[in-house]
Amino acid sequence: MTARLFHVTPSGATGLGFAAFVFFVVPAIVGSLWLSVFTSTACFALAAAGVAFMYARLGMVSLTQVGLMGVGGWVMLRLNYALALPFEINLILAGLVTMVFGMILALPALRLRGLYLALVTLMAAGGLEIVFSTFQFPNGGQGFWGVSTGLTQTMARPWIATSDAAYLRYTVAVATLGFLLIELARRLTPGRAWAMIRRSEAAAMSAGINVTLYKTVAFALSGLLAGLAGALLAGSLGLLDGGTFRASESVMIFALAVVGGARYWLGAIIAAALFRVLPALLNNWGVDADLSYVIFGAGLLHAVITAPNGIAGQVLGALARRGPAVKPAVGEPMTVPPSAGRTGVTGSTVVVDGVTVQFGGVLALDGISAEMTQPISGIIGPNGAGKTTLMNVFSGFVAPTAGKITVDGFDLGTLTPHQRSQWGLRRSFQKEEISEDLTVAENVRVQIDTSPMSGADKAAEVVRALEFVGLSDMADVPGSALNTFERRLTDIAKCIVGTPKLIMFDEPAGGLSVPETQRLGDLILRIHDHTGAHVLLIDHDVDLIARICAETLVIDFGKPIAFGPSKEVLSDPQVKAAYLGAEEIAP
Amino acid sequence: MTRGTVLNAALYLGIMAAIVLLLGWGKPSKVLGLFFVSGLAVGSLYALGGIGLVVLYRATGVLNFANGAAGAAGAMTAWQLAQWSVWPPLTWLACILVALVISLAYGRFIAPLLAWREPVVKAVATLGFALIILGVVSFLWSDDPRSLTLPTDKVGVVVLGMRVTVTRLIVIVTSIALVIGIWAYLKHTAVGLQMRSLANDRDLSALIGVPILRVETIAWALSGVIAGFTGLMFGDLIRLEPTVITFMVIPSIAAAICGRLEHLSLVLLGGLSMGVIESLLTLSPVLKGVRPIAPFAIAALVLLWYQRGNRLTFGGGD
Repeated sequence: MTARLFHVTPSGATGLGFAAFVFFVVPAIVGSLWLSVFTSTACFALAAAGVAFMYARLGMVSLTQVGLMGVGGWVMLRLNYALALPFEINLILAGLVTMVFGMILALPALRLRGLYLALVTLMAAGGLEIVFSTFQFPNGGQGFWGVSTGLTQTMARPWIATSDAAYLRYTVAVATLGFLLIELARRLTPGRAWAMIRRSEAAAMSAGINVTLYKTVAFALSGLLAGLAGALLAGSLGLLDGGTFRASESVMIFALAVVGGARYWLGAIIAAALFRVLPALLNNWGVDADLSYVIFGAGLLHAVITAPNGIAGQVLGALARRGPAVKPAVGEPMTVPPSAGRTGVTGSTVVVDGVTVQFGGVLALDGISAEMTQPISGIIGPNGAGKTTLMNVFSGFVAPTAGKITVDGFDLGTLTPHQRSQWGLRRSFQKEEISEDLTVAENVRVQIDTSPMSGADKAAEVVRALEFVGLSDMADVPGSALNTFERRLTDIAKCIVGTPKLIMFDEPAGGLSVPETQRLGDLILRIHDHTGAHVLLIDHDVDLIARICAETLVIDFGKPIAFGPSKEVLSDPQVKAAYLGAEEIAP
Repeated sequence: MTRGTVLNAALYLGIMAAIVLLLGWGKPSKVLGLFFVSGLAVGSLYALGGIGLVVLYRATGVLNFANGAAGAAGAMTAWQLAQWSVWPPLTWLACILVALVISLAYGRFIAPLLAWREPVVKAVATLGFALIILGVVSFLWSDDPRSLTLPTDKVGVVVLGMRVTVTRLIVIVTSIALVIGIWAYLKHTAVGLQMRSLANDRDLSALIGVPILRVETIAWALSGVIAGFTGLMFGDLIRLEPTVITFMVIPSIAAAICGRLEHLSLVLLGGLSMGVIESLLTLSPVLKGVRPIAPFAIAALVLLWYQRGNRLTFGGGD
């Protein structure tokens, strides 16, 4: 894991090379006007990287970034002219204050998604714009709210970077650290959590991820970067103007981050260059600066319609295509290794006690009760019977109107969804929920990221789980390259990794061929011996249920019809009439 | 009417009354009335923008950031024609036509390319279109102070002892009439039914044979006309400047949020309330400076109010 953490990809190496070029060469060759342009470009690149990673990694649109830069700039100016602290302290304080602002912004984000999230951040940007234009930036004015229109005192700069050229170097160094911070977070627990949240919040919660926490972490990181960027900009100019931090600029920087390519470091650089360098260039060439809007707009439309990964995606894609394409070995026949064996574990008792769920006027579940003692239990019922709702009650996504579920006497209802996962509740969904951004091993690793094990133990657990399902050879294959069966196997590996107590499968055989279903059944049969966990299987496939479940609960219209040993239950005439009557099954 | 609706209405009226009393305390009722009416006019503009956005969003799933830009292009065209001494009614018509053509062009040629993307991406794409229009318009008409006047500016009517210009009356009445008109249109015509069907479920509507292209084109046209009218009135009542009119779309979105991007009557109510509160804030010496913040603060609070008790678990639509 450590080696992977510090692994430098070709794209990363290019990025570091680019940073070194800007650091060593550019300040030496450009004039003073361009020094200031490039400094401000570096600041906006840092801010753009913040929105870009939120969009690319979490799928969250934040339209407040430039407003947050203004917050950082305001704090920087205030501190600089009021106190005699070193530049670095001011910079860090400005970053931290803005980070707190970003976290406050995250509060509504916890309940909002997609367009509404974008709109609430837009409203925040609109509000900040008014505050800035009304109260203006301190710029050396007296008192807390004091404002000065011109430059009355000199803006302190870091002692190692007092000249404009040195300050550009300083800004580039801080920006590079910011980019590295994002990459570091992406490679550690937060990055894996973000990838799962982006895929599906329900899947993230059932992988034990505290969705609230990691969304807040993302907003905090993005806010920190914006604050540092604003503070550096303030240090460069010495005074700031409300017009720089309008809501429209926040929208623009997000749009340009999409144009540049939100997934790549280069994308943020392109965004900032379009934002700052292009207007300066047009000005140099005597072209009306208004035309830069037309170029931005056309670029944005082009990027949104034809290039989902932006200009950076096209550039890096063209470079990558030259090298030999790396094809993972997919579709090899897999031999199932012998069970690692955790013998001596007895089955637990799962008690469903009068669970009732009412959605408005619809009674989805009506007093479901069952005491499941066998290692593998099944739940069947026609479409809309309430099987998945029952599973969602287990997961904590749906709160029961009445009744409770206990496992060996422990009431699951006392825990939040992600706490249930950390306790040992695992589940798969009808649609396989594998993050396409993560490798197979990372997808499995997410599940035990929050457990108190050591890093080495977690890695060993992941290896064991992949061995069990037969995906050892594919540990480093990205989720996007898997076929349905491989995704299902990864799902199973996620369910068995670590110390599960209760594993639930929701139609795991959906979309699989007959031999694949057969293999899946074999695997599920061996899970109890392997982990000691109680397995709960929901499926339409009566043959599968009959083969692997010792006991079965039948639900129809939210009511329990029968419960008992599978053979008896499935041949019960009432069950046949309600559910199996329509299907012809071999006696 | 359910009990919840009554409670919400009472809550709204209570809050509004409290704000009006708080801000207007000790002011002569005539002053208060004047600020109230001017707030209603500004609020109607927000509401008009919001109504155009919502009609389009419901029918096509596109939140159109270019709505304001289309209005700006229309208003600037009207100004230019007036400079060339064209018969005034023609300039107004030209304003609406320009906005209509711009809206239709996007709806017919660009929007279909993004038909199956998520709402955020569709919204971001319209932003690109808005920038193109804004760039062209600001290039054609460089930054000079301009103004647009309508003959109705000078005609006043006395309502409840206050003199109100006819232009203000027109925007207030139009916004109310539009809400009623569109409501009737959606309820009683075949196309209205198809629009409601599209708003409800696009895939199913396509399966049962709703002529999507035709219905969407009508929606784009309708929102274009509203945008043109709003741009003209904004240019007359507030400011004639392309950038300002283009980004008027942001408070319009605030008004649209008050109706959850869904209910036109709530959009109207939200827009009017924003305008009134913003205008009355002028009376407060402390908050005078930040009064344009009103739409954003209100929209953010409304959004949080709507989402209270919401659990974000399952993916899918926004």
